[in-house]
Amino acid sequence: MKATHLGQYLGALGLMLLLSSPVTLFITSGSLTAAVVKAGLGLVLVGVYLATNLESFRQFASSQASFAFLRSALTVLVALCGLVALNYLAATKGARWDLTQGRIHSLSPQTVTALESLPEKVVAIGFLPPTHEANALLESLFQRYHEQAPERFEYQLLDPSSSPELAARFNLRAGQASVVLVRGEGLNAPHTTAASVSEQDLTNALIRLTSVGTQRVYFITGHGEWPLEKEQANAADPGATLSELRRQLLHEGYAADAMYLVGTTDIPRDASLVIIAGARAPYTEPEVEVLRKYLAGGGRMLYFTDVGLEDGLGSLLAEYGIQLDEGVAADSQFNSGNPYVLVSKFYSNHAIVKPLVQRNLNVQLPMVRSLGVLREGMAPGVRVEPMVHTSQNGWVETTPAQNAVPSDGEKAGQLTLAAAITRDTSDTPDKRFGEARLVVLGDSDLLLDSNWGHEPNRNLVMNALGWASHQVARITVRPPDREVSTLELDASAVKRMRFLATDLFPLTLMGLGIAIWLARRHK
Amino acid sequence: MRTALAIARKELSVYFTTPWAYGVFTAMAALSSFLFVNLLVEFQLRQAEARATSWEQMSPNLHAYRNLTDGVVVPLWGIVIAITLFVAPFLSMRLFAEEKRNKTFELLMTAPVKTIELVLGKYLGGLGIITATLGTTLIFPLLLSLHGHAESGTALDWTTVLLGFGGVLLWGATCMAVGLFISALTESQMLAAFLTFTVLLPWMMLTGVAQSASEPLRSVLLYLSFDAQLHEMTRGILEVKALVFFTSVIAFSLLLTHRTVEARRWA
Repeated sequence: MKATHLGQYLGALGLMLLLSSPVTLFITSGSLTAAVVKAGLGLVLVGVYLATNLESFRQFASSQASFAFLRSALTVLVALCGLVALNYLAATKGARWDLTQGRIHSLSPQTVTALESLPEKVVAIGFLPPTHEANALLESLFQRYHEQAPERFEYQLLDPSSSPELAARFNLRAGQASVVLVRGEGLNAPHTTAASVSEQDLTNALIRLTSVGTQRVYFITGHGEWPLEKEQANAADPGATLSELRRQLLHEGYAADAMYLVGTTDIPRDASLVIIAGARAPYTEPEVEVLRKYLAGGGRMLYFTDVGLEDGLGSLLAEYGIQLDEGVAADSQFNSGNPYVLVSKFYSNHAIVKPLVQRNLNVQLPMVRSLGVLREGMAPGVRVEPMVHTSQNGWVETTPAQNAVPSDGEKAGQLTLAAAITRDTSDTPDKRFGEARLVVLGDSDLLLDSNWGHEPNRNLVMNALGWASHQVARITVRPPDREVSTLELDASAVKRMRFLATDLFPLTLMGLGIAIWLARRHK
Repeated sequence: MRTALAIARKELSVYFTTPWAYGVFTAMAALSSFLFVNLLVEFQLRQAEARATSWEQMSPNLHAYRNLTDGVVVPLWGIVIAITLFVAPFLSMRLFAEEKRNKTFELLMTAPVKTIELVLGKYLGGLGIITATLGTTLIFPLLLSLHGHAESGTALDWTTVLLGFGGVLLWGATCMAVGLFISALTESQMLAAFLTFTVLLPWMMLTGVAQSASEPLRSVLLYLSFDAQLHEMTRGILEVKALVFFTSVIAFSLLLTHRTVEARRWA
């Protein structure tokens, strides 16, 4: 074999070794020594090629083609540099547009608010094994947060097995996909963990991380209210608990506990909010007095009741301008096929329902109790704002089992289904807040686990909770989703479609091709 | 440009009178149809599961099956992208290699045609044929919109569907540009097809490699990866970086083709 040929083979081998050395360093072995040895050997072999083919180079250099080659190489190099620069700009500054219906890949207003109100830099660390299915999803989510607040939100994706010290610092379990948010810098920087890889959980974790202290929510119990835990559910109706609501509260940084009023004289000072959900037995006078004192001192309360319940809180509600109607709210036009299952898109301009208006979401309330708004007899400084209504075709059906049409003596017209009440308590000594806040809704079933999946209702509740506990950042709509669409094909329809798609369609194309080809041949 | 368009027209006329092109059409249609029907069956299965339980109780990874766009069309475009990887080399392989094999390349070189016009003409011809090939897959969203149901009346989010198809076309255009360059390097059509596939396949698999790399190499590899660039587009997000990236690869491939063809004039 000629030396020039041998030199060419060795040169090709050398070039491969040289070019593949970064792969050795960054991807396969990670060993710097191995990469340097490969690159060194590659250079030597390329040198052998140059030495054995020196004559060809001399000929090439003296020919006219060599100048053309050099000019081409230079053009390609300049073009490559230009394209790299352009791509760098596009990667770092390039815009993106979410063209989906409903902008489902854009950050929700809640997230934008949370990012804008970050007091200092937050670093999100995604601990995921490289092959984890959520990897791309999390990266794209992080990217969107970073684009929204490039100065305040940074992120990194790490393999827990390659960063054991960080995994140990944040108490991560092996194989578990976790997102840790760290506020500020240093080993003792406060941090929290997102429950899962979703915008909802990531934003809630952000809010939790940046909120000062823990918000505590007390669920009043002892009067037949819905239980908080699944274990306390009635065996006949296991979905009738508030465990999903409680879970969501915990994710959003609230602590949620049950509380007995009997034997107490005051609501604990750490209460951000008190919730009464579906009380069936009357409160005693001392209990009512505890609640009255709490609200008068700037307390915050959500009150949910149902048709036919009598809980003895009527006088307290009356002081805040609300009277519960006796009967079922009905609507002859805006319902889901049953006049007692109301579908409402009739909202006021209140902050709680404004996001529902913006997203064009209708709440659905089955067997709801309407509210009367009182004009007099209220406590001083009370202001009532109805939030959700029926249409003008509403009425209060007092005998729902007998007939479903408005009768003489029944209240009719646009009914109020939910109201937000404030009371100025700035002059109250030892007050909690300068303004008491109360939200009243004539349906407590929407809080139950079995109904918690209905997005508009869930948003109404969570927004009310955010407003009442003064967590403005939480008053928004949860991440949207595409409209549900279905395909109803029975077995024979699937067979037809299979025949059409996999048989008829390709064969038609083939037949068409053959026909055109034959026609052309015979021309 | 008129010359380039004339060359493109001639290329297209050759393609559409060759049984080989129809073989490729048929293969594309048969493969994508088979996988489309499988996607439909899977979609129905998941929807039935959701009806029996509820979406809230199903894994978040399955929530894509709530609608036809995410459950069928988005994965369908992923499949079409993968099939294009196999189909495009067979369409691009003849662009220059056949001219060389038939010894007509020298004629072209001596004809009063600028190299740039020749390259653009060949490329536009290739672009036409890949668009026609990929265009056959639009039948599937149309079938879905005929049979699907949604409360608003439109079963598909057409903006997402068409943007995804745009991504597929961009990918096809890139494959043809790379294939054109490789076809200009050799006179063997099969070698051109094989080399095009050999270049595109690892390029597409960069996402997998990136996942096992650490920063900053990871970000660079992800940026260079074809399927990572297409991922957002098929989901309904238009990104400037994806457009710039694909346009750059196409432009650079055409430049390399131009210089390769031009080199024949020096030889």
